[in-house]
Amino acid sequence: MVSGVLREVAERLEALAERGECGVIDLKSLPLSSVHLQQLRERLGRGEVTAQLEILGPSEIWETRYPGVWWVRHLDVTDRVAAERIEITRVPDILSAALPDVVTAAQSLNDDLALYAAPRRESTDHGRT
Amino acid sequence: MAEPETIGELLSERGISRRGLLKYAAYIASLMALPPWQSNAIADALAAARRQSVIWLSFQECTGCTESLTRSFSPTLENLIFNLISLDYHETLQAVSGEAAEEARRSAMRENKGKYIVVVDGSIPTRDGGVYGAIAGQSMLQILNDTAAGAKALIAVGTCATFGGIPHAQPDPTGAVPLTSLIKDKPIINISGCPPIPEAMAGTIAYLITFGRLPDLDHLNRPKSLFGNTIHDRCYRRSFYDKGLFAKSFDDEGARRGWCLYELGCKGPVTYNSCATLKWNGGVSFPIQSGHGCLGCSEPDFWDKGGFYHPLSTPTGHPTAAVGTAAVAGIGVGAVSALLARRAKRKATSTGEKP
Repeated sequence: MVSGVLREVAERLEALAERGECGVIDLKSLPLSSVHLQQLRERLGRGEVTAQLEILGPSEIWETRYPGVWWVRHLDVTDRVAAERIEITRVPDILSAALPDVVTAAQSLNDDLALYAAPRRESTDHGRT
Repeated sequence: MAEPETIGELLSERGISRRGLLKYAAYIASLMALPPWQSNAIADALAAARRQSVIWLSFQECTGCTESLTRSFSPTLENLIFNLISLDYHETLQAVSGEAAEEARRSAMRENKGKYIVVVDGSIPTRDGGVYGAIAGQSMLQILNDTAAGAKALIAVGTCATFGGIPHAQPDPTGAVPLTSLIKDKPIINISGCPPIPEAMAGTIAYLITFGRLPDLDHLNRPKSLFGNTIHDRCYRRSFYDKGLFAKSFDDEGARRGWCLYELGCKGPVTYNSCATLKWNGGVSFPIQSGHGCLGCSEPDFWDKGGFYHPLSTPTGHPTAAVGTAAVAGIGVGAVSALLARRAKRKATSTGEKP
């Protein structure tokens, strides 16, 4: 079973290298035992990048020792695995900031600046008097 | 401040980023056996969708289905479903009571005519004009007919609503029937189980909101992604079955070694559900892992099938008796027994008998 998954990873990694096609393997949909998963993690190893996310419970993402092959594990707040997948891509989408969040962030930062700007002027005025 | 119009706006207002929605989409894609690369599309669709109005009707039931949906959830990821829906009526969960509660239901029906989803748990009593179950002066039968008329789709949750369940068990004093026996002109999804797995309910609702259509259903109107395999097919004890290693009692050497519970009455080979993969209580275990055979609670008439501790091979008048010989020989017959069960169901349906 582990070798079968690895062969699929290899095939999709070739597709990424040759045609830029991304792929995802949903590990929860496969009848893999915890021993199988451990073997798979060991075979893929860990590479240069690890990211910890805190969104509705923790998530951990690491690049395996094969660049372009990422292990993505989403947990809920009780540390139960909600989704576990291997993503074959240059960067997993969830690591990028989404445009709607960027728009909200820009507005939020401007609001913060406006809020902080007002007391600073008052403080300067006090200094002058 | 204007009310958020879409789920994306609502989540943003509540401090849940698009990453949160992507994580939820990965979870739903896995749960509903959707292609995993569709996660982004699911997240986009959910973000753009409006909250779905849901009217939950409780009839002849024990509230176990609601308990399953609400109590088993961890407070964040799976609970996100409650941000996707507007639960406009639910007798157990709503704050209001009496006439105000009934008005909430009528109001949701008026404002969302043709768009709301009705969730039904519990069977519906029909004998003697439906007098054996009434709420707010109306029979359950009448409430169902009135509420279903303007619904987009209905979801029957739990074995009582899907197949009649325990109220329908012999001698069935109230003439209890499932939803599909009464509503013929609306799409109906059955999510059986006593109770159903909470993720099955939440995942199906999320699918409806995301795609605006029903998931692929089996011959009993159940989502194939959740009811496509038997418990036996995905059971971690299956290898013992294939080797012909069976526990003969609950405290013998075989039971201690974790051998197959088939001969102790396990109904796993004829029961379609996801217990063996999704498990219960936050993924801790499921009945077989805890040492007890499957009761077959997600199948029609599970209560009247001749005893929970009688192996399927025991002659009970049920066609699945034929699987016994093969089991002793250690042959994997899950598919055969499932086929027999389905044939029995078809035959029973065509003759009007209980299978």
